[in-house]
Amino acid sequence: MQRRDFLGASAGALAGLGLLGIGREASAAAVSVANPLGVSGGRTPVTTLNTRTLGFRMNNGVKEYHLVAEPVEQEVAPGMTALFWGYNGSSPGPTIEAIEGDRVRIFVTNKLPEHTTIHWHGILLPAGMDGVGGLTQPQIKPGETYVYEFTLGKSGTFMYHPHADEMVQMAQGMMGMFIVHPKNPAERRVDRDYAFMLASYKIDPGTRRPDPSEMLDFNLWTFNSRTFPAIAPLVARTGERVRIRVANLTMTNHPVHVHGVDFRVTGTDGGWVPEAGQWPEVTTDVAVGQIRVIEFVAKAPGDWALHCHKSHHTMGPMGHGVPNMLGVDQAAATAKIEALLPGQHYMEMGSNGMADMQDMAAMAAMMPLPPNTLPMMTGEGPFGPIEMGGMFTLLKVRDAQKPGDYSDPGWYEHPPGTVARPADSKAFSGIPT
Amino acid sequence: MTRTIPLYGGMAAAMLLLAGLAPAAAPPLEPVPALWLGQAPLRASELASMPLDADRVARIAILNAPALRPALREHGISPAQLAVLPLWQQTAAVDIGRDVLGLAQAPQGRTVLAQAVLDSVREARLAWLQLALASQTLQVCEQQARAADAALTLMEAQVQAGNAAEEKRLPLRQAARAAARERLHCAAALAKAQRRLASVLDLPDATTLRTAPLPALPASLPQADLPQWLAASPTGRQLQQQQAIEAAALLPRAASRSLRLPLTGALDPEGMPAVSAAQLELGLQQAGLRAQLADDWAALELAFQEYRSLSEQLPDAQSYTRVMLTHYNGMLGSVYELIDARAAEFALQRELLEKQAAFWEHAYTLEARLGAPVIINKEVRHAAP
Ligand SMILES: [Cu+2]
Repeated sequence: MQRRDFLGASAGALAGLGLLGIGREASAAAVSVANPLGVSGGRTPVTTLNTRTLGFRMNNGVKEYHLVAEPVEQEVAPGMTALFWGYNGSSPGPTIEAIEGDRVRIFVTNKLPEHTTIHWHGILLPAGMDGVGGLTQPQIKPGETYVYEFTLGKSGTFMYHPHADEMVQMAQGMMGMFIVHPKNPAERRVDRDYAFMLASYKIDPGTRRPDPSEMLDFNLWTFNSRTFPAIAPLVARTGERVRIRVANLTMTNHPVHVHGVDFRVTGTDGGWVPEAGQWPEVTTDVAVGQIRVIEFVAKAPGDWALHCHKSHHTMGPMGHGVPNMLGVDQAAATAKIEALLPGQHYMEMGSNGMADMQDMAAMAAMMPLPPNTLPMMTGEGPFGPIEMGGMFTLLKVRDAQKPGDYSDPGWYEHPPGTVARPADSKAFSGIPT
Repeated sequence: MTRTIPLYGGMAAAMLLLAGLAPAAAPPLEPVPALWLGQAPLRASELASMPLDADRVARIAILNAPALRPALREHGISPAQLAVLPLWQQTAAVDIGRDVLGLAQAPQGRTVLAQAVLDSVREARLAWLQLALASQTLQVCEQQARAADAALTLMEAQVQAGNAAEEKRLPLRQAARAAARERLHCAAALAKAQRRLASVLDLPDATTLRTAPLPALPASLPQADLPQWLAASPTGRQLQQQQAIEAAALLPRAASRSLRLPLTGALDPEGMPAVSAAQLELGLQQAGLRAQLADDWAALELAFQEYRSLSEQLPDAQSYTRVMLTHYNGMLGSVYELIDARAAEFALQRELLEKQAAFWEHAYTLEARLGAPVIINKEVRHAAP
C-alpha cells in the first residue's frame, strides 16, 4: 500500500472515530492497521502500530531507502492534533525493514528549518555512518540530502533518530524503528510481529506543539505518538506465536505489562537473548534508550489490556496538579463559588474520586474544556468507560482470527458465565473478611 | 408654609447650646428666612428623592446649595424666586451657562455671580460623582470579599478532610480578613459621600440619597480649542474687558533711553515704554488661566485614554476567567486559580470605575471654568418633577 493510500485510509478511520467522539460506540475497535508491506521469503512482516513500513528499491543489489525529515501535523487521539517533526509524513517515521546481510543505502533529505542527522541506534556499522552530528559527520543542513550506506551484519531490533539538536528533535517526535530479519526465515519465526515506540510529550492544554524545554513533567504518554483509544489494537489468532518490539525514546522507564499471557524477553537492541537467558514475565521494564522484544503464545482468547504500569502513564493530561478534593465536603464553598460565576456552569469535582471525570467529555457542551486537549480518561469499552488513556491498547486474541488477518475483530464475546457479575448477598455471607 | 427648615450645621447647633435650650423645647430657629428660601428646599428634596445624576444635582445646587446663597443675595436673587422659574420643567439637561446664566449676553460685572453658580454646580457634581463611585465600588468590593470568602471556605473544607494544612489555610484566612476590612472601607466611603453630598446640597437625610450609575464616556473626545475657550470663559472675558480698559487708559510710548548694566543701577520709569502694573497683573492671570485650562484638558484626556485601555482589558480578564473555568472543568487548573481570575476581574472593575469618575470630574471642572459643557452626556433625559 502506498503511503498516500495508507494515510488516506488511516485518516478515514480516525475521522470515523472522531465523529463518534465520546459516544457510546466509540472504542479502540474503530482503529485498524492494514497488513503492512510484506517482506520476502516467507518471513512475517512487522506491523508497526498506526504506522507503515518504508518502501525501497533495489539498485545493483543494494536496497535504497529515502527518509525525509519534515514537520508533520498528526492526530494524537480524537479531539487533539499536534505539530510534530517526523519522517515521511508521520511521527514516528515509517519502519525500515531489511534482512540480515543486506547492503542498504539510505538517503536522508532534510526539510526541517534546522540541520539534522540520523543515528542508526544499535546497528554495527562504520563509524562514519553512525550519524552523530559534529562527531562522525557534518550536520545535514536544511534542503540537503545525505546518503548513508552500510551492511546489516546481524538481525535484530533497532531504531533511528537524530543526533542533532538533541533536546529539540526527539522531543518533537523524530524517531523510527529499524528491523533486521534473520537471513534464515525459519530462525526465530513468529506468526505476528508487532512494533511500537514509547514517546512522551509536553503539549499544554490549548497548544499544539510539543514543548522541547521539558525534561520530566510530560503530559502525553504515547505509543507511536498516539494515545488510547487512537492506538491500534494488536490482534492474534489463538495459539499463534506473537512478538512485540517496544522501543523507548522518552525520558523515563516504562514497565510494559500485558494481560492474558506470560511472555519472555527474547531480544534487546543489542541482539537476541539465548533461550537459556530467558525467564517468564508479565511485565518488563523498558529503560530509556532501550528496546525490549517480548514473545508469547496467545493461548487465551479475549480482549487483553496492554499498557505501561505507571498508572499516571495511562492517563490523559487532565487531573494532574490540582488540589486534592478527595473526601472534601465542598457544599458550602460550591454555593459561594457559583454565586461568583453567574451564568456559568460550575460543578464541584473530586470529592468521591476522579471517576466522575469520565463523564466530563460527555458534558463538554455544558462544561467546556480547553481546545485541543484530551480528557483525563477516554476509553470506552463494552461495559462502560475504560478509564484509561495514554500508553494503553488492547491485545485481541480470537479463535476465529484468520492467519495474516490484521483486521479488528470488535469486542470479545465472552462465553456465558465467564464474566464477573454482581453477587447475591446470601452467596458470600459468612465468609471471613 | 408648614415645612420645617433644617438646621444648618455646627453654627446653629452652637447657638442652641449657647442659648442653653433643648431643641425639642425651643421653637425652630431660622438662620435663613423661610420667605427668602421659598419653595427651593422643597423642590430640592423632590429632585433628591429621584436617582441623582449630573443634571439633577446641578438643578438642586442652584436651588439649594448654601455655598451659593451669598452670591445670589449679592445679586438680588432669592431661591424662592428661582424655585418658581419654568426652567425646571425642562426635560432635557439644563445647560447652566446658556440656559441659566446666559453667558453669551451677560453684561459686564456679572462674572462673580456666573462663576459662583458654576462653582457651586461643580462642587455638587463632584460630590455626586464620589457618591456614584462609592456606591458602585461597594458592590464590587462585596464581590471581592465574597471571592476571598469562597476560597477560604473551600480551603477550610480541605483542611477538615485532611487534605490541606495550615500553610495553605492561613494565607487565605488573612486574605479573607483583608477583603472584609476593605469592604468596611468601601461602605464607609459610601456613607461619607452621602453625608458630603447632603451637606453640599443642604438635604436633610443623607442616607436616602440614591444615584444613577456613573455616566458612560463619549466614544471620542472633541478637539481642544484653548484660545476659544479662554475667550469664551467668564473669567477670560472679564480679563479681556479689563485689559481693554487698561489699554485705553494708557498712552503708547516708545523707550527714550537705552539701559546700562548693572540693572540695579537703573531707575528711570519715564525712560521705558509705557505699561501699567494692572496690565502685567492681568497678563499673569490670563497665563495662569490658560495653563489651568491646558492642565484640565490634559487630565481629562489622560483619564479618557486610561479608561479606554482598561475597558479594552476587561473583556480579556473576563475571557481569562472563562479559560480558567475550562481548565478547572478538565482538572487542568486549580479552583483557586479560577477564583483568583474572577477576583482579578473585580480589581479591574474598580480601577475602571475610578477612571470613569476621574474623567467626569475633569469634564465638570472644565465646564465650570468655561461656562459650557465640553462633553455632552447624552444619557440625561428625564422628566422634571
Ligand atoms: Cu510508562
